[in-house]
Amino acid sequence: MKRENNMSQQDPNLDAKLTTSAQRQVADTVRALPEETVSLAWRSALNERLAPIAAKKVRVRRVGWLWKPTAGLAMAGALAVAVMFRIAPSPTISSVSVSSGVEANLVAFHQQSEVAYDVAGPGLANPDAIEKTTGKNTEPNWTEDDLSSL
Amino acid sequence: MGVTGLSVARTTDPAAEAALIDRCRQQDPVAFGKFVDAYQNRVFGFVRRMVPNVEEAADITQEVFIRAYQSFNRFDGRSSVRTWLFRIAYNLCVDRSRKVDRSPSETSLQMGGDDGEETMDVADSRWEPEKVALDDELAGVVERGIESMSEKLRSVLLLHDREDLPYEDIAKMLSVPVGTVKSRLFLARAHLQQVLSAYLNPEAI
Repeated sequence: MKRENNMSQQDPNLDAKLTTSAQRQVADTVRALPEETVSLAWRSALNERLAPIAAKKVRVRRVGWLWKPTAGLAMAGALAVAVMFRIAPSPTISSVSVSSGVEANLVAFHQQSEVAYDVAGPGLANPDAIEKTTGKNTEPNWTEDDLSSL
Repeated sequence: MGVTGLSVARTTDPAAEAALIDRCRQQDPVAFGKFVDAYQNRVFGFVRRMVPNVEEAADITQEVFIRAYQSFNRFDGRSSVRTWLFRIAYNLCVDRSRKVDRSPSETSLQMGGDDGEETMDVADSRWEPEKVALDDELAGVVERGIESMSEKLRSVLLLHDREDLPYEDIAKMLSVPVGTVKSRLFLARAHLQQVLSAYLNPEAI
């Protein structure tokens, strides 16, 4: 190992050395060695070993052909069901997220006024009612006959 | 000689081979059968020389093709299919030698040509018997010379000189620099040259 490393590092003429006639003769001799052949029994044994593997591959491929479209359809169906039956939540006051103090005050005031209206009816608590009442009081409570009697 | 597989593998039309590989990627058993036909002898020859036991070599070669079949859909085509296949074969041989926990360099010379004879093809009858005998003998010497090398030298020699794989592919396969591949190849050939010289000129020693 050390010898071959030294050779490859130190010898820049390795390519030239490999093409000398002696080296080429050896290479030709190796190339000319008789080919070894396998027997028919060997081949038949190989076929026996390959047959179950090939059958398994075919089975896997068939299952794949069935499985892939089925899985795709199932996924598409599940997606469609999920989209169709998704119920959007109705917006209510309680569900409104209150993020700032002004909004919170507005909502609280509205809720209070609603509760007060439910309990007392259109009364003092209702600003509109107060305004109506005030408006009625400011209306003149006399007629023109009263003026003529003076 | 048993060159059928070799000639099929080396002379296949590139377009036809690409089509065959595409079908193999889709795990077509018929196409894979043709692929095995094309490469079985070459892979077996490589494994047989890396692993001294013939039966074990035959078993490992089967494992190579089973692994290739199982992982063909992951073959990305960045390297040639031949390089890819021999990488599987090389890795399995290395795994095997690790399991055995015995360095292949310790392989004794007694595991020579005798084991391989039963799988050798019958020689062409047109050849002269003396020539055949000489060739067989010489081939036996070369085989024993290859077996007596360390695994590192042997794998490089076989992958380059026997299987015609380029230096870069071998370097990637073995995870070493190209320079190391070249130096290993040089040393392997030099070793074999010594073995052949000793056989051809016994008086010179």
